[in-house]
Amino acid sequence: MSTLTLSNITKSYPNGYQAVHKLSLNIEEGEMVVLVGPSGCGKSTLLRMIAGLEEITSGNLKIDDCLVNNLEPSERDIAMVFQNYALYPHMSVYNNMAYGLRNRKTPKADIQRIVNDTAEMLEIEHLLERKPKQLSGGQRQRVAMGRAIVRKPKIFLFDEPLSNLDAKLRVQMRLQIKKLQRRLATTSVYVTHDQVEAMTLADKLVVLNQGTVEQVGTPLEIYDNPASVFVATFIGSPAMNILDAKVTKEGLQLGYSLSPIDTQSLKPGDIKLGLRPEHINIVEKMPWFEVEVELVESLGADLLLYCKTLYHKTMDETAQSLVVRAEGHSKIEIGDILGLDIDQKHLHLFDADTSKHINIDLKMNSKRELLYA
Amino acid sequence: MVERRPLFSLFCHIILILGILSIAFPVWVALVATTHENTAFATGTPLWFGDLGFSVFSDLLSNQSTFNNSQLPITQMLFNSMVMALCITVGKLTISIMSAYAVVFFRFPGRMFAFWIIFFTLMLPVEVRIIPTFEVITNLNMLNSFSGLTIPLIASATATFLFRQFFLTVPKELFEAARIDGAGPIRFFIDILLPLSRTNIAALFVITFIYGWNQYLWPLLITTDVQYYTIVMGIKQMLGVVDGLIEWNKIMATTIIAMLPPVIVVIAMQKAFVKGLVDSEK
Repeated sequence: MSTLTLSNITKSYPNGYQAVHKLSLNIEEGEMVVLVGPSGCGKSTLLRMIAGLEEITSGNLKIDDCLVNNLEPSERDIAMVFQNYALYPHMSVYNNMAYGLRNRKTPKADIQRIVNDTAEMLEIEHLLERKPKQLSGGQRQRVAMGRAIVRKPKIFLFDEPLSNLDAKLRVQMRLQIKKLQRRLATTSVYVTHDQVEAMTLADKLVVLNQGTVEQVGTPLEIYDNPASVFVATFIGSPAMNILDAKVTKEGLQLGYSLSPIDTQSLKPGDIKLGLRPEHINIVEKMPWFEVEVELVESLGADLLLYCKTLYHKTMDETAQSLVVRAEGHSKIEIGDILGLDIDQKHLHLFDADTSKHINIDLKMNSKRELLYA
Repeated sequence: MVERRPLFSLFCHIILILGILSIAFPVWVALVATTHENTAFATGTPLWFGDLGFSVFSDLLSNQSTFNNSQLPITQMLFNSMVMALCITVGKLTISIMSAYAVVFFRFPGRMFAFWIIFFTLMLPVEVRIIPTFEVITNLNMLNSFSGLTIPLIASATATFLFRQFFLTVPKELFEAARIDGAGPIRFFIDILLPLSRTNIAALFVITFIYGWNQYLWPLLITTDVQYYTIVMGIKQMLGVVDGLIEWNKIMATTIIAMLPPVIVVIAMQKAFVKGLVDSEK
């Protein structure tokens, strides 16, 4: 059980490229923290700095209040699971798991007991004599985890450990990692670009973008209250729709369609609207705006409708596309015209210039009925 | 060829048989020659065994025979060749595997410069730099010694380059995993990198051993003492007869003896080779 504290961590390369910029983060005891972001956001670099595989240009990295900036990876008491597992190809599974312990001069009897116990926990005890190349992807993955677990490290680091597995196995291993982490209660940092993995595994989710933290919070907090357009579009699948709109005295204007929302507290001008596909309602009467269905994707339980706003026919504005989630057996076909509405409590507003979330309570305009009269 | 046409496979076999014959015939002649009296060669080259049996070999190996009254101790020459070939092989492998390790796995100033310098020596084989090398060895008083025979031939860009190419294919995560597991650079080298390069080492061992064994020009230059003659150059010395008959039967026997160690190395190492290729680990 350990804490991990990052303060003002910066990584810059000799060519001037800054991969991580003044990043600060607190990780509590036993917490599973998931770093998520698009490729090139610095999440792997950050993890490798925690591991001690990359030098920290500036800032402090503390494990249990002990500065570890200049310690070798082995002295930091961390364990890492790599994306390609990095198992030693010429060693048996047993030796792979025992190697780290041997280097620490653990007595032989202890090594045997620890490795066997861990193998049993991971259900790989029948594979101990095999070489990595004789194992399937999922088994290799478990051996890689076993190698991390046997050392009883202060912190687990996972570098996209599931991305080499097929979809079904990935879901299984995801559950197993979650269970194991609960059981061992070891502080963990998990890097992924897959937002489903991030949402399901995280106690605390850290969304990274271009080397800085965009938002930190529980998965649901981030889903419900994304701090910026970036987070809004990154978390949630399919992504949140972002539409350009205008604030006028009468309400929010999307094309020629005026929403019946009270805009007293907003400053007039451009604004971005965020609407999650699952929060958009298809309505028969009094829609806010209309769309034409361009493509229909059936996921079984749900139907994803890829639509285009219709107002461009009457006004000099380009059409905007959006995705709507509908009930799986709705009879909707390509070319249909749908009327859409949204509950105002699910409507997110973002500043058009800074892309940051605007936090105000939206109210329905009392003149709603009048507008549609 | 996927097609199986009888005429074509006949043609292929004829070519193959011709190839084998052209390689095997000189060996056959050498083998046959060892069983004849020296006088038999005056009238032509015998093609079938004579009546001496293995007596030429046993004379040679017991150092009882002389070549036109000069002593050329075969066992000593065999030993010298063995020492030379093994020293060159072990030295080459050690130095090149370590320099490749340094160049691939570490970042230090002048790394690429060092690599290019090594690479550049590819263009300077022994034959090209033989006069300056000879000068250096003379000034170091290393004429007529094993160190003089082996050291100048140990440095090898080819082997360094081969190991470098192999090390580049080793995933760097392996190095990092070992670092996290508490293995320093030396532990990683011994515990992980060396076992992984087994097959490469075996291949290079064969190539370098034969290279070392077949050295002719260099030992010819720097040895004047019979005590340091190697067998390959020794054969040439046997031919240098001022007047009298060239003792072909003894020379051919020496040739056959000289041929055996490389053949044994190839056959022995081939097993390791094939094994390494069959369960290649990556």
